[in-house]
Amino acid sequence: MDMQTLTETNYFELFGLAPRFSIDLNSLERAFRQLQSEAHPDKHASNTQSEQRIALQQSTLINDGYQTLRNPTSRAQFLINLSGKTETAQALSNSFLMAQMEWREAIEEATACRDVVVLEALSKRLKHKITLQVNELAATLDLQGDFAAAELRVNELRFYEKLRLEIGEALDKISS
Amino acid sequence: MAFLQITEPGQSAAPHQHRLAVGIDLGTTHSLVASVRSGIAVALPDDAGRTLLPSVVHYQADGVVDVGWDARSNAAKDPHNTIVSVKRFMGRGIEDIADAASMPYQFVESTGAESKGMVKLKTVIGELSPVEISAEILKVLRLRAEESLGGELSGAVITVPAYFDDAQRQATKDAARLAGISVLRLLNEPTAAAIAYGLDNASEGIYCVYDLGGGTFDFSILRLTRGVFEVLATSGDSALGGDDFDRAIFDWLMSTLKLSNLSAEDTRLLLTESRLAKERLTDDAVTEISCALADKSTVNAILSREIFIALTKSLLSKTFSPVRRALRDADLQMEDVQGVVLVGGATRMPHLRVAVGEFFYREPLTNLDPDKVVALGAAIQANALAGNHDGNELLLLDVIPLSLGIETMGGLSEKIIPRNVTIPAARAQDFTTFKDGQTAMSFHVVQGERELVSECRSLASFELRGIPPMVAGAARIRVTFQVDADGLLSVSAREQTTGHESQITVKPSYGLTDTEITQMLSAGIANAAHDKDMRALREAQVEARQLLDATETAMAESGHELLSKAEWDVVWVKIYELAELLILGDANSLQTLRQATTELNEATTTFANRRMDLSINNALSGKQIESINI
Repeated sequence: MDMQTLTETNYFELFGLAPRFSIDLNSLERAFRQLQSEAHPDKHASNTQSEQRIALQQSTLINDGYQTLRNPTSRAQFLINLSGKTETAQALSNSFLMAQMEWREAIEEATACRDVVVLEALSKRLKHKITLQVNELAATLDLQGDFAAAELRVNELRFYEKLRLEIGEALDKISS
Repeated sequence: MAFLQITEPGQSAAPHQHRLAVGIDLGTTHSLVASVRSGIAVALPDDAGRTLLPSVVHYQADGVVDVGWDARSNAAKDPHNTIVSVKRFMGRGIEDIADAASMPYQFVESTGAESKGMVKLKTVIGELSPVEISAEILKVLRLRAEESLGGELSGAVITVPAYFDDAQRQATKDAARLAGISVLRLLNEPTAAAIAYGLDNASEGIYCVYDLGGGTFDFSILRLTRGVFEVLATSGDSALGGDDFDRAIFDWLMSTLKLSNLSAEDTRLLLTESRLAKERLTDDAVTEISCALADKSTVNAILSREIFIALTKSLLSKTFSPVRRALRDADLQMEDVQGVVLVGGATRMPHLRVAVGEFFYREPLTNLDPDKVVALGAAIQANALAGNHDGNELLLLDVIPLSLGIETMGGLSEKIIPRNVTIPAARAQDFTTFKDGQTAMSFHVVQGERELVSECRSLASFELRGIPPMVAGAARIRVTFQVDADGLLSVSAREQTTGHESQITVKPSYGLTDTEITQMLSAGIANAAHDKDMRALREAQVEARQLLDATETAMAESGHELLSKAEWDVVWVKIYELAELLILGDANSLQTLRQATTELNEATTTFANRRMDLSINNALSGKQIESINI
């Protein structure tokens, strides 16, 4: 796989979408399937070696693009990179970091008590928090075009996603 | 020249011959082969009308190798030389085989340069690798298919547990090569089952496949949408299967009857009796186990279903933690699941069906034969890959089951490609030198979810040399990991700042080298050297023919559209050159044939690129028209 291609392709163009944060996930999914039904190595298994190699590269690129655009965090980061405005993001606020510590303590406590009900409640609250954060991100990018502010929100979103993983792992540990 | 008339430029190529392609389920306890005939996937039977082939290989002192039913009936008589459930040892080292001591085999460690650390089994005809033993099973299935279909196979899709790691996949592919089978694709077993099930029932939505085979447990979640089978997550346990339920009965017999220090023969006999008792308990509430040991003492026991359920409760609950993990990875709730398909002979156990039903709050789907469904799905995929289009457009999007990482400071694994990413996938990671003038760098690639490298599977170690000397931290080495559609990894590296390229492709450390495979192929054959050459020539001829066929079809489809007159001529010159060589047949020099094949391949690279761009553009413009209409 030529990594230059992987880092330089404009995935919005690849999937025929306007370069915005708010995208229609159904259109993305449809375009993804259409592209893969042409490019996937399975469609070229009895073709020449050159075609098989190119199919592998193209199909890899389409998978990477789909993954990048489907996830809100990586989609936002991709848009920010595309804008070329790479100012350093503002530092995370103290209140945000404090809140993070509280989340973490709550997860640890519930895990220690093997309290599935509390963990599931935390998971629900977190999901809601992520939805709100994604909505704000949409406004920051699509309406205000403020990439520096968006970068900060993306960083915060990464923290939330990490928390979500931790809750999942805790639930897994308790139930196994 | 007759050949020229067939392929006169501008004429459409001859219609595709129907290629003989099969799906093979290389299972822990049973294997089978299936093919699509007149549009329907069917399992191919042996002379006696049996479709299942026990995955048992018996080696005799005179060199005769028995595979299947006869071998299985010998298992208790000659346990050291009768290899049962060889799949459990594929791509594994001795330390991976937890219950090695209780098995009637003599394990040794391979000392081959490339397959070092891989487990081997001592038999009456010498030390054999699991790859060689599996190849015997595959050879029998290949012969069965060729006799039944009436011709040489052009290729096969071979199924592997979704949770197989890179080492186990590579070993499976090597076994196929050894058996003279060209592998079209390695296909994950639950995905294969989903194809057979989904196409049969025209299902749409989220489906789970719960696949408990003889030696492995797989769980996959798929989204089915109009011929697209998209795996959302997969998980499992590659060392948990129906065999463990047999062993639970075996252990119970040992402790209740106070047996100890059984011979290998008696161990195998009791394991077989345990398996039969398990199978009887599917229909009966109580079963009697009775047999005579070698010292004429008799074993008599009554086993009720209740006791069996109690004995295997923990085994069963062990399957549900991978299930939960997969649901979480796919970000799905139980309510999102439309249906749960049961696959694998072990899912016949009634208490398993009840447990799965209770877990998902729904009756599991069992309307396809759990022993055959994987092979049938593989046959459908093989038919599509061989280019025998039957109108059933099919697209499979599978995932990598275990994360890939590299070792960093302190023996930690840094994940490069996380599990459940859709394949083919690639990721690049930049590294730099930490000493002035450093010209080499070593990498260690591992697979697994644990943080410590020592708890992951080691896949490959390699050294990148020839980095131009620079101050520490100035070099930028980009390492690229590519996982192909078989789920197999290759790694390449390149120094970015100077443009100095050091491309390397890593063959994982447990794999077999081409030399080792060639040695195995020629071992035991009279006139080995000559046969080896003939075989290489045959392979080169088949490859050349396939390339000619594919190129001519492509030229007829879009050569006029995509190539200038000059480019068109170049490709045809190369086509003629290769075609003329092929007419020479066995008088061919291998070297010249390979050279001409490479040249034609190179001459068509640009053309292949344009063809791909064209089809991708078509796919997208089709999409845009569609969205305007809506």
